[in-house]
Amino acid sequence: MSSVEQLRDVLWHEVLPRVKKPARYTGSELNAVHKPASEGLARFLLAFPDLYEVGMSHLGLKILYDLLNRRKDALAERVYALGPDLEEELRRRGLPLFSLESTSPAASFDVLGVTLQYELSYPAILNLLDLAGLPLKSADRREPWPLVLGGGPCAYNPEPLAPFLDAFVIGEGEEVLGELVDLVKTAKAAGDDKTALLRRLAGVAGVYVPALVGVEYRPDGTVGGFRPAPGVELPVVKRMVSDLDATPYPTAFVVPGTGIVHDRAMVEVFRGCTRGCRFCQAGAVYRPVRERRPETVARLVSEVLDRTGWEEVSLTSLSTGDYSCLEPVVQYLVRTHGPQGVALSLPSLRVDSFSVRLAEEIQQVRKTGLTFAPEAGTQRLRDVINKNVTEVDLLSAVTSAFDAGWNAVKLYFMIGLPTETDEDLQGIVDLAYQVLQEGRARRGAAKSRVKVTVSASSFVPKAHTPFQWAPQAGPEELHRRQRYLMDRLRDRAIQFQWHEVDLSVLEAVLARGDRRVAEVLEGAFRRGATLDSWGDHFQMERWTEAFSEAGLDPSWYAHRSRAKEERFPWEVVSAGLSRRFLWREWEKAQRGEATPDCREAACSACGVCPGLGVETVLARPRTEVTP
Amino acid sequence: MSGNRVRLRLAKEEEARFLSHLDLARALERAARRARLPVALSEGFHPLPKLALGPPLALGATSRAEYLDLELKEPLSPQEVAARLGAALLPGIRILAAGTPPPEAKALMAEAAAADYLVRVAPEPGAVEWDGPQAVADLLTRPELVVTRRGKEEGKERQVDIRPYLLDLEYLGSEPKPAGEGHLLRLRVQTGSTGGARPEEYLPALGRFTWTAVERTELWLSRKGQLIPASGERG
Repeated sequence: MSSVEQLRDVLWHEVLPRVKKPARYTGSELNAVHKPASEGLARFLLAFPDLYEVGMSHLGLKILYDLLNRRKDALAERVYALGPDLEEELRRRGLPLFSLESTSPAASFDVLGVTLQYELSYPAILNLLDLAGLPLKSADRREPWPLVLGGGPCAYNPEPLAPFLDAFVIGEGEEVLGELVDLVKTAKAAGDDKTALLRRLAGVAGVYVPALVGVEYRPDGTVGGFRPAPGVELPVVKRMVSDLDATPYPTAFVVPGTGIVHDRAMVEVFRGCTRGCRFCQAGAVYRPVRERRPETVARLVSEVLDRTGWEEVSLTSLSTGDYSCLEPVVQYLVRTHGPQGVALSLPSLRVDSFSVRLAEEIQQVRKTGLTFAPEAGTQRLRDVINKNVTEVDLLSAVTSAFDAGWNAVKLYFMIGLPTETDEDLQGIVDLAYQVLQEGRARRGAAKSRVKVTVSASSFVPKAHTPFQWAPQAGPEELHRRQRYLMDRLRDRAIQFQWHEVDLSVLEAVLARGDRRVAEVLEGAFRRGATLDSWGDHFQMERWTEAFSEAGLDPSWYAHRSRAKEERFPWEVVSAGLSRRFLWREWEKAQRGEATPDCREAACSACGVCPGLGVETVLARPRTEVTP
Repeated sequence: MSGNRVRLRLAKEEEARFLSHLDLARALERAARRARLPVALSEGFHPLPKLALGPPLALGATSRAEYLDLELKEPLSPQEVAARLGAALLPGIRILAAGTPPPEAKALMAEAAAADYLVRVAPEPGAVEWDGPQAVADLLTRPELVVTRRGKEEGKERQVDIRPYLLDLEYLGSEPKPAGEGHLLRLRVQTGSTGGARPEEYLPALGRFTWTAVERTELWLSRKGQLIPASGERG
């Protein structure tokens, strides 16, 4: 038996029978791609640093998996964070992290590609490297292979992970991926050592190689400047597809064998969002809006259902309610696939009655209720964050929802937003009671079943957004604001949900941290932080110790006001947004001035379109647009 | 039961053996949809396809006697159903036979009465070699065998005598295995609403094993007071 066969034999007969939900680790799902490893193939292992249930629900890696496996000269396999029971079994037996498809050791691949979706998954990345038997730091991995790459939204502040990953891919992976396959083949044929490989990588547009960029700090701890190696140009600007409609999209999705968080087909109707919410990193970094044509969406839905048999398909994007052809597409899909028992779902509803009508049309699940995100409790604060939703919009949306038969409504808010006062918190309370009253008035006999859920997460300032200058509210203050709401949302029909403050502080540190924060990550990992994005595995003491060991103050990263001219660690990379635009938006925020969506009004001069040579692509141009 | 019923015998093999009963049911619904089979849907707000499996198989076990009943909106021959569904199945699931259950047949779960299992065990290495035939004989002479089962509520346990559910047990011999000496056992175990057991529940009473492999080989149906093998039903 080969070593891979031996590993497989032990896993299947001795290890998997002892762990929870072993179907997560078999790789024998429908549509999983099992390519025989042959000479000259560039072998990628795509890693999601969270459990299978979460990772398998995510679209980005499915797109990359499909693109790589379409190529004759590349293969892609998958790995997810392991449940604690499997991790313990592997460590006890001295077995390595393995790929799901071929049970190959993770370290045997050419490329280990890690998706960076949220900051709190960083410890899980270190754990994956450790389980693979690889040194955590790029500099300690002397062999060029496996090349450890990161990509995804958190790559827009690569610095806290800079010592660990060999390179970061900034922006959308579709185009650059092909170039990476070619690069891997060339570099292997040329017998590159690690230094040569990193230099070669730095030559690819959109790829940031931290080992080739030094960072200087000022006495006050802020970044003084970057020192790129000769030939390295900064900032590294994001890659993106200009014509989404013509971009390949996976339809033979891997269908999970066992239940996952979002167990359904997904068709991405557009990318980008220009609503311009000032807290939203996705809205900033994925600009501009690029829609797929309705015919393409309809074809993709048919194909994906044919090839997966899923009973539900979701039309995804950052704000599906804004898709210019949403209504006709929804009507067509309900007519075409409804009779086969296939349900349609829209992940994000706009706060208006139009969206509720659509939800009614597709009979969106009633028991979980409809979710709206007003984000802030007063009009003043909604103007500050540029969330163009009015109280009238919200009330008309919930009124339509109750009239259409829903009993439960969920409202998403953030607390700790810049300029927030108790008046804004009271606004949340008042809105919740207004919605509840509306429900009781409209649900007649069912009024005792009316339920309003208020979810208040704590605001975390993110890189490349207008709020990148903003301090996060301190932990005591966040606790006080949570208590303020808790004390006033006392009705039995109102459920109040909030987030762990310590986690939000940590997220804030990592979101705007610099390269020195890497030491904290490693320290927390060494103390056992691995699945910290799962609240019940989280222990703040590990982090507190790690911060003091590294001599760093979390508060300096999370709660400090930043000056206009401060250089930020994440400015080694660029999403195409001009600093001038971001600062202007930050000033407008403090004055409570809104900036309209550039799909409907004038260009807001964010810098992306002219800078990257792209433009907004709408499937159906809006009639309001004036030239 | 309506007239458009088809009964399939399925194999659940190595690649699929870690799918739970619920996972398998969902996977088969999706396969039926991929195969565009005209499966009848239940009434109600969330219509579900009318597919029904026989008694659950333990996670990790393989089987060549999983049964699936499908109710169709329009008549299709069992062979056609098997051909279409067979082409859409997931790795590790195969169709072994297709037929039409007789008109008097009730739902699988209502008739399922017992199942046969082939169990391969590798005894833990010890001072004394495991004596398979003796262990089997000892278990068969025991008047009762009480095991502890987890209750429906968290933390609740209950004691059950599973000896009455062991209808037959036989030592078939040993076979060489890469991991050491493997021994083969055959068990017939009662299942169904009047009580039943899983084959793994008997193994601790037979010895200590480093690994075990369980395969279901036959399902027995109770019809008009008689036990009939599900595989012997005429299609």
